[in-house]
Amino acid sequence: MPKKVVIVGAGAGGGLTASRLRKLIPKEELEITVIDRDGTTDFQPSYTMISTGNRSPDQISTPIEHFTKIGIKPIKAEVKEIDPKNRYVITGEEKIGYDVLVLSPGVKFDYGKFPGSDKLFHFWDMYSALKLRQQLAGFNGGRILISVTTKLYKCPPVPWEMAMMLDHYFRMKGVRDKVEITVAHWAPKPFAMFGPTLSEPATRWIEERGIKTINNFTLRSIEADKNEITSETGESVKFDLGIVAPPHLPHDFISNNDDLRSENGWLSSNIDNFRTSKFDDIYGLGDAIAPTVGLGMAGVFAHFQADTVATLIAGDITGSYSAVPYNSLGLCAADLGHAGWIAYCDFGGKLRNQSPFPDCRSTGKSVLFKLAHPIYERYFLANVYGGWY
Amino acid sequence: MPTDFEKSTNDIVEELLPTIRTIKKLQESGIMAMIDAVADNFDELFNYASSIPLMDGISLLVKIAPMATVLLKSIDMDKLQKSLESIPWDRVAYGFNSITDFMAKDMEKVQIPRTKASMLRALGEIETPEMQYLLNIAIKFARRIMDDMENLKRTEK
Repeated sequence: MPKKVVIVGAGAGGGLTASRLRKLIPKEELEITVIDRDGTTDFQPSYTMISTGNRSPDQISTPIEHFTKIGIKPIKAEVKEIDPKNRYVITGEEKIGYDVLVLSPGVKFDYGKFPGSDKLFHFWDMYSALKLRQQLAGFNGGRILISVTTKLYKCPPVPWEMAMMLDHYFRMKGVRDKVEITVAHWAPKPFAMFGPTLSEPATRWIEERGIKTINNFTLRSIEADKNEITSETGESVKFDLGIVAPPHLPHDFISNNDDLRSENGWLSSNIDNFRTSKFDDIYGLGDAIAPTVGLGMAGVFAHFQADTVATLIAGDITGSYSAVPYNSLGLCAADLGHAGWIAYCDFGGKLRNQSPFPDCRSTGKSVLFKLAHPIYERYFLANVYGGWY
Repeated sequence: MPTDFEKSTNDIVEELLPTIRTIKKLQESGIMAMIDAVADNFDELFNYASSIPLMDGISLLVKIAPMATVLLKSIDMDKLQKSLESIPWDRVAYGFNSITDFMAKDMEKVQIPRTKASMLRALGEIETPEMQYLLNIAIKFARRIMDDMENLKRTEK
């Protein structure tokens, strides 16, 4: 009887774990099932480009049905509950048994936690990125505001990255002089979470492009009908187009499950073997564990975590232990419009509490680096689906 | 009768024939096996290659490349090549080793003087063979640069 691995989430963490496992263990020995709520694998860093019209959804999204071509069973469904003691995943329609469970479900957007956030625009999922695209296409002048509702959100540098992309977008449109772009963020300065080696040059570039920044701005309320947001300190900012990251929260099947959640309500895990604290047969990775292990939410972390998790599971099944050790490098290939920029950070020291910041460096800006983003985008989707992208 | 699918597949295969022949040669030469091994291990390769030293190498290349453009524009490459070939590299390497060895072992021992420099002591230092050696190199180097600049001026006239 083949063993059964069930993977929740078809994004970077779940998708790559599935495809790597398939390469490592033949079908006769291992059944792999991937359950995903949306039924697609999206290259999420390109949502910004969906909004600026530089990508179409089919270029950055692959339906999970493609998994069947490489011997993986896809199920489009929302997970309602997990029963770790009896080894079941419960969706709306099915109760799916497993020998090993991999949880990489990402986050849920809970607009109800921040009233008014549902009335504004954002680019943190495909549907919203397309809505923003329509809005930007008709926008020819006024105040654009970019902000975030929660301290943790997917891709920490993206508010400033998007501001630079929009700067380029409106310059090319010929209306940049009529558009004011402001980033109001809780950080003390742009890219502050990555330390001065990234923060200082990025702050300079943002100033050079005429982008306004309001630092130490922790959002308290959104008055959508007045087109205004207010910070914890009472500072208000008015806007004509508000782009605000919605509240990022753990899925209910995690936060409501004492066996799976950590103290902060997010998925329990660790950076050594990514097993949950109570169950050896359940692995947690990706954005859902980011607050637990002390990382930011980004696909690149999930990518390298998937390498480790897949090789660990394969080792358990075959009895051959040569797992890939976790690579704590974070890579960001940003297309800022006028140039590309590759930043890379080793989070090892920060994760071991040896340093307040990750060890970050960057290649500097160059038009040549604009190519890094599409190359990784194509590689990612092809790699998840065994070439069937 | 071939179906439309078969017909279009045949057309594609025909268009790809030169490429298929090249692939056959790659297979026969063993290059394909090497590529296959890289592809087989690409997941791990990507993981292990995503490292700070490798990225630093790329960054350095990108940052140095514009400087190289300026240098290459103004340097007589033929002359540079000849000079590089005639350099006694073994002696340069010996000097380089001495410098790195000094930096690693003895640099810490050199104390910053707490008193003002004494002329008499400075003159005494100048008379040492070590100082004579360093001065000789500096004078010969400066003389050579001045001679070359003079030659350049003459040719420009």
